[in-house]
Amino acid sequence: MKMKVFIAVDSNKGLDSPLGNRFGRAGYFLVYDTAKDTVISVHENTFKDDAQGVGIKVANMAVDNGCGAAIGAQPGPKAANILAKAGIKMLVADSGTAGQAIERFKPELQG
Amino acid sequence: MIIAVASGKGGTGKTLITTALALSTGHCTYIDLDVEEPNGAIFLKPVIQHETPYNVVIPYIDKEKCTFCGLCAKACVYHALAVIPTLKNTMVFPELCHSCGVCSFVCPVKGTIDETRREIGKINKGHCGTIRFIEGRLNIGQPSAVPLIRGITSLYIPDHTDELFFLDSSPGTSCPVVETLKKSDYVLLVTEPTPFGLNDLELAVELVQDMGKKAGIIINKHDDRQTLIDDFSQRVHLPILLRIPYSMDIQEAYSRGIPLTEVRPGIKTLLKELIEQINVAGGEK
Repeated sequence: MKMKVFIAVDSNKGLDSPLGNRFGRAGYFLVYDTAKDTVISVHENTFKDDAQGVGIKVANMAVDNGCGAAIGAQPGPKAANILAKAGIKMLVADSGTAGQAIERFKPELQG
Repeated sequence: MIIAVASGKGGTGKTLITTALALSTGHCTYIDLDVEEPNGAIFLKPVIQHETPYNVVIPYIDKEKCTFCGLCAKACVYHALAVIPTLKNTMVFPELCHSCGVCSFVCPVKGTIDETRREIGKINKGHCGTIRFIEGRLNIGQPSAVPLIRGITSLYIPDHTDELFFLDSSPGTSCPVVETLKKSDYVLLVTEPTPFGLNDLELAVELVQDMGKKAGIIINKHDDRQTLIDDFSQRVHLPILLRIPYSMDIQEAYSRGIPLTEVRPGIKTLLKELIEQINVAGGEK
């Protein structure tokens, strides 16, 4: 099954990007397509320095990009709430690279 | 005259001073605007006559009319809205809402976004003898004290008055303090003669100067050997209006909710003179 995956990373180095230790305040978000096995878009996190509600905007970004799963550090309660409502599977990981995480979560990303 | 008592550093003696000021003058209004942890009532022991919930306005989305276009969520700078078009859901996060109304302003479908109310705290009114007592109590879990403080200052504090108002501020120099100081004619800055006290006093002085407020300093827990506050006050040309000595009996009484005026009745005269003095200083404006 193909699926788009929303990945929270520290810097923008494609699948070699290191995962950050924060979800909403990650530097960039990769949208990875399991069918094409490639990153189809990269989004800079313009909200990351905002005082409040960052998780809401970021979770909404995952929704807008039509993602079915998200990979990143433990999200805050508001982001988690939106992801859960939207049926986006949250896969928690805060070390290694985006590529390694995709490899690790392969069973979950089968849908 | 509206006198605010602020501090920068917490625990320097704002409530000790504000309640003593109120008890020394008798006929006045005491307002506890430290709404996150109001404790003036512990010392003044007021009779509360009215307890009123305080509400703010938040959006109510009519999901029958909403097209889930997402314009409201994009426009909201506080990120209080999320739109999930596939689920036909627009989510409101009330605790992030600042009641600005931009969501209903940008909504293209008339009548979709209505307003509803959300209680954020309570306003308690009463009296302690001839002192009028007002306090704000923010509900637990509310992230911002500012709307409640603004509500109280706009409802109960006139722009100009000959009557005496004493405002007990929260510590620090952030938004709740700014909101508390806005209507004040004079700011009493309470500090203690320690490096921490000095550091936060410096920040508080910057704030009152930015706001164009007249101010004076009160040193609590005063110690003759420490002159760091004196040196600073000379540098910024602010008067030291009162020194309260460091003393175990004052601390002990405070911990039991006994006001300063009971442990040191002599302070009443000093505080009345202090108000006279700043009344004259305020008139020089």
